[in-house]
Amino acid sequence: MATRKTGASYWVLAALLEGPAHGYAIAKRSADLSDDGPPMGPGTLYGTLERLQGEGSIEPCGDEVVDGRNRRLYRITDNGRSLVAEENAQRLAAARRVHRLLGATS
Amino acid sequence: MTHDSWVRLASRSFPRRWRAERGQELIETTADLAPGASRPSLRILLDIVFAGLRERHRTRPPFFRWLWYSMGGKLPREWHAWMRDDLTGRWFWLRDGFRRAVPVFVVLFAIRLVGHQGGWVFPLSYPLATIVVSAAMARSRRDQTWKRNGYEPGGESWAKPGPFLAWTATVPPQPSHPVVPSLRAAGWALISTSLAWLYGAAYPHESFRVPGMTFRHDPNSPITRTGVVGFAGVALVVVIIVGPLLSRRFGRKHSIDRPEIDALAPIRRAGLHAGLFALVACVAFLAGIGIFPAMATAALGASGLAVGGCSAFVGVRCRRSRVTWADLAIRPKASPVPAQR
Repeated sequence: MATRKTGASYWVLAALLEGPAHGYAIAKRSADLSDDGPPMGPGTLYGTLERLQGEGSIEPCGDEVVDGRNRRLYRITDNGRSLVAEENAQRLAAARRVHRLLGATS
Repeated sequence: MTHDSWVRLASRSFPRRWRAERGQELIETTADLAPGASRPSLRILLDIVFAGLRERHRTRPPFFRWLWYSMGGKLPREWHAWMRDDLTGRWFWLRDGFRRAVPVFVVLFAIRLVGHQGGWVFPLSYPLATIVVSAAMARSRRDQTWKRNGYEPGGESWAKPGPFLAWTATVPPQPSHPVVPSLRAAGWALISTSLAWLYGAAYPHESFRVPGMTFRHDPNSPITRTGVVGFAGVALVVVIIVGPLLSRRFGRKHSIDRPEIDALAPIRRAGLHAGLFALVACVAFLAGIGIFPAMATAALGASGLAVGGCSAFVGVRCRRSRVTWADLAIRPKASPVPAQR
């Protein structure tokens, strides 16, 4: 069974479900998806990318030049896709349990 | 300082191998996150610093692996990327010195605590000497560590040509023999114990205990000063003669020349070892009998000067080459060590 993903890992993987992206785009997509304030810091982002790449959940897939700067693109792997699906199911199940409790107490 | 300089400074918290691969990417993404800012916010800088520290912690060997490596043992290939940063870092000589000095300090400090006597000179004398000697021997320590872990000089270089050799992985790695690090540990234990005996003998009216042993200097005690000096002599012989002979016998496959020492004539080489040992033993002895703090302080200072002088002699004699930043420029694509994944 896969280990539970930290918040940052989950949102980075979720952001890459939309397609390959570079670091800045991943931070923006994660912030939009989580709707949780400003984008994650660059240190957290690149620490997370390094870890996920080490686990084989994401992989670099080329470079592109944006505003004259060379950006490395990352994409999610099948392993990463299954991890995020599993994590998503766990979060949904937890949310349903809390929802039932709220219904019972109101 | 410019925006990029701030980020570059904060990113020093990441390991060097990480910076070589992702450092520029981090700088550019940080600039994108705060367009037009003259410097990154404190939140961003702290985020980078703490993420770097977490990455360092995550990718370093576990404590006991690290301890084994510090004692001269091999590291599994999984940690060789970390080892490469360690061996090629600017402060290797200091890290190496501390790694070797701290265990000795812990032992001597424990003896001092149990003895309820003595100043700081006793527990600090040997570690200090260890650091000084490590500084003089850094180049051979580095070379020996490469060799021991299955690398050989030459091959595709990831370091620029210069005094620092390139090292290439040999396949399969050369076998390690556990006797070499064990010998080193035994040598240190022997020296520490002999110092403890000297210390015990130096207190005529006090006794102190270590597990299984009580040191008391009285007329009926089997431990006489002559015995202590004899024991220290045995330790000296073991460290200077028996240790290297056994190490040569068992550790030849993964030991290489020590240019700093080999450049000396054999008699000078033995004299250097004996001088260092005698100096440290004298310091410990003086600390033991040192009723006057000034005397202990003077002994420490004198030993520092003398040991420093010895190491300077070795350094000058062997024209110890310094490794500069330029020599260590990493080219990840040509790295013989696979990036850690």
